[in-house]
Amino acid sequence: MRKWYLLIILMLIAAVVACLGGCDGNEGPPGDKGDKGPNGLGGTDPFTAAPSPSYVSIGITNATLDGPAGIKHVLVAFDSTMTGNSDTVVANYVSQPPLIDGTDGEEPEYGDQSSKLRLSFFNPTADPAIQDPNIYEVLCRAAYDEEYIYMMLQWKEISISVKDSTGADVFLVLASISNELNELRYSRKPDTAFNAVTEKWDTTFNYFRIDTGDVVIDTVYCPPPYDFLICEIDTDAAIDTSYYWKSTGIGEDRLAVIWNQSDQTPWDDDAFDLLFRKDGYQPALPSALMLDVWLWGASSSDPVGSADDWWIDGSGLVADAGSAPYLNNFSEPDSLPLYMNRLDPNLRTLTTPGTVIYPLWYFDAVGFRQAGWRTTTTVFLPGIVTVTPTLSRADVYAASTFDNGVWTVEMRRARDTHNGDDLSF
Amino acid sequence: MKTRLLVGIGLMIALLLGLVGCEGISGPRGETGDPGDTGQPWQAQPPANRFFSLAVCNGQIVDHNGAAKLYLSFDGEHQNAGDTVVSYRLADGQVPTIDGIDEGESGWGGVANTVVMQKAAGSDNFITAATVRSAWDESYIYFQVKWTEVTNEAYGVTAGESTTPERWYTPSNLLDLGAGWARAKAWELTQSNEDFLLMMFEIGSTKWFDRDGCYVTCHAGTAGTNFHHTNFVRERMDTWMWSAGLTQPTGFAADRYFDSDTDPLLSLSWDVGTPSYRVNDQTVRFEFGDNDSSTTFPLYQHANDPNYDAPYPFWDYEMVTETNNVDWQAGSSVPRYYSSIPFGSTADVTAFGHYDSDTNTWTVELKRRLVTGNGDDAQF
Repeated sequence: MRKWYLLIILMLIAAVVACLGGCDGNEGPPGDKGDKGPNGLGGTDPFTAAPSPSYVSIGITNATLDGPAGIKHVLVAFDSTMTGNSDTVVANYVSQPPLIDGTDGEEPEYGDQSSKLRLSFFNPTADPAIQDPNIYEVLCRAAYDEEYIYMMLQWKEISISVKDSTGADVFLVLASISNELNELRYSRKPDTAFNAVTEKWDTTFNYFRIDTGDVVIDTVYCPPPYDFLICEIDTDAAIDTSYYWKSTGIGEDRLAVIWNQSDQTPWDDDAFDLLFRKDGYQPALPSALMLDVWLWGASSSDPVGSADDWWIDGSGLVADAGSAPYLNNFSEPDSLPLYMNRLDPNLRTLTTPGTVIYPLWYFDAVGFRQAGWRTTTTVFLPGIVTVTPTLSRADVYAASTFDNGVWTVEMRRARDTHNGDDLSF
Repeated sequence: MKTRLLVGIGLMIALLLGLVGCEGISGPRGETGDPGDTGQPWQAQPPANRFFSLAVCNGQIVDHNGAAKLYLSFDGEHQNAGDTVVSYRLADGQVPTIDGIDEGESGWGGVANTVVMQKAAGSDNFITAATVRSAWDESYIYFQVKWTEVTNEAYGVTAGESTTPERWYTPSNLLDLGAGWARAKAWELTQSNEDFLLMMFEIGSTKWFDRDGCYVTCHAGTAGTNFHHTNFVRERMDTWMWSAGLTQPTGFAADRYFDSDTDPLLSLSWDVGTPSYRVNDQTVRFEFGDNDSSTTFPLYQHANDPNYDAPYPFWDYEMVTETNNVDWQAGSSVPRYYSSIPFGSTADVTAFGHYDSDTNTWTVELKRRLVTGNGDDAQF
């Protein structure tokens, strides 16, 4: 019996010795080389993804440059699973671009989503002189494809009149095409005292009045062809203040589409202030602000089929690089028009108001000459000259129609213009 | 007995040592396998195959011979034969120069196809074949059309470079005509003598275009002219027109479209933007008591007029207004169209031609973006 105990003890000792004293084996051989990795993914079209959501503000005027009807901070979603409503525009993906011809292509062209946006009158200073355009609603369609974004906006103008003391209708707003921006008028100066500060549009034959200070008016002799650099002050000339050129200050039917992508606030009010206030108010703008502005004007941009492309940054409202679709036809403070139609003088007068003088195409414009203008009636000149826009300022194509008081404006722009003054979609 | 026990114990210990001794550590990790193949770079997918129409004119646009329906193939599964034109994918960096000079297969990525041309409208101009090349890259599509004019004296058809669009001219000496009405009425139009290339593509889908080609849009117009319109609402056709006198100087083809509007004057519209040429007409109504009448005469004259006979191109910056008070001599003329640098979708198609007077052969090359994003254009 003791032998078996001894045997068991010895075996246990042997087991302990084996555990303690057994040596590690040698290091194994290196593993096999790994399998070849999977192939890389194919390249992807960088434009196929839907744009990220953006925000848009819309302002619309009726024959003015201020006091728009507008809506701010509308979400533009490029997600067709969403539903457009009064504060959301859903841009549909389209495989066929809408026809930019100024007619509503409806669902077949833009897809089934559309939004009716309610507009409100923008008059931050409560200026009673600024008339509510009474434009209440704009129908908005939007679409996109791999490379472009499209918009259609449609609104209705209405006429509102009041009776004057004689019972005649005086129109506060009129449903009509307003495409004669800033028309210039040559007529007899009112009998009221001449205000040298504000009444700069004053001229006589080959002599015209310039504002040489705040109040001092000199008569300047300017031999044709007109060149301000060779004008001389003619101290011997008699001052004739009977007739003068003056801007009528007429606005136009205008649509402003203001884009933002960062949704920093506040920006809508600032943008409206910059675009629609004429009192010189300059809002304090965030330095990181970047808004893209498409300005369609029935007079200023429509004739060439574009919308004027601007942007807003921390410094204010800035035109995109390039040239505008129009030239201003006056130059302060010398107060004379720069151009007139080849058929001028007297192409449009008070007695021939129906004569078409807009658009004044660049090829119809000649240098202004003061000779020959009638003084027995009021005569007119266009306030702008229509020219072909260039570069980034011409990024937005646009077309419009006006039918029975309803404006339809369509616009198209590349999602990525590769211009630093534009937002990319 | 003891010895055997000890041996047995020793063997058991050895066995235990063999069984229980620790394994050696794993060997080092093998080398990382080679990376997989590089992914394929993004490449534009070939545009969808489609039909198009082609026509050429010798002097008169009404008299065009053409191929009403050609099949444009991008997929590499067809051959240049019959009515099929293969558009070849260009190698990276390979771009045909749009100058009307044939760079051959090396410049266009493949062979050309000679297509049969037939009298399509008006009188036969006896041009029975045209050689067509097409190529594309990631951004653009290119075409080259080459045809040889023929002379057929019996039918009054003459081969030659024709670069003269219509002109206003004065058969009378206006100095002798007195009043403005007589002067205005005295202007007449010459006949156009200009060579044309016309191409037509569907925008979206036009019913039966795949069966009949451009014939499905061809209709009898007024005053003996033919014009095109589609037959259903929202059907639109993209048309490119190169002409030797009017569009050639600008370097752009006239990019227009027509729809289902049945008014010959309204069915064909310029694409959005400003066009490369416009009509130099004005219509004025004169009143003589109870007798109202209107007449059309030139709106502009050249800065060097009267009697300058301004040649084409008549650029807009060369114009001054025709006052109708100028003393034109009999036989003086003014271009009926004036040219501008186009802007917008009207300027999508670059085009330029070259005429080989030795062989009476036109080679016209065109280029456009595959996708313009304009609804007035076919998208490739």
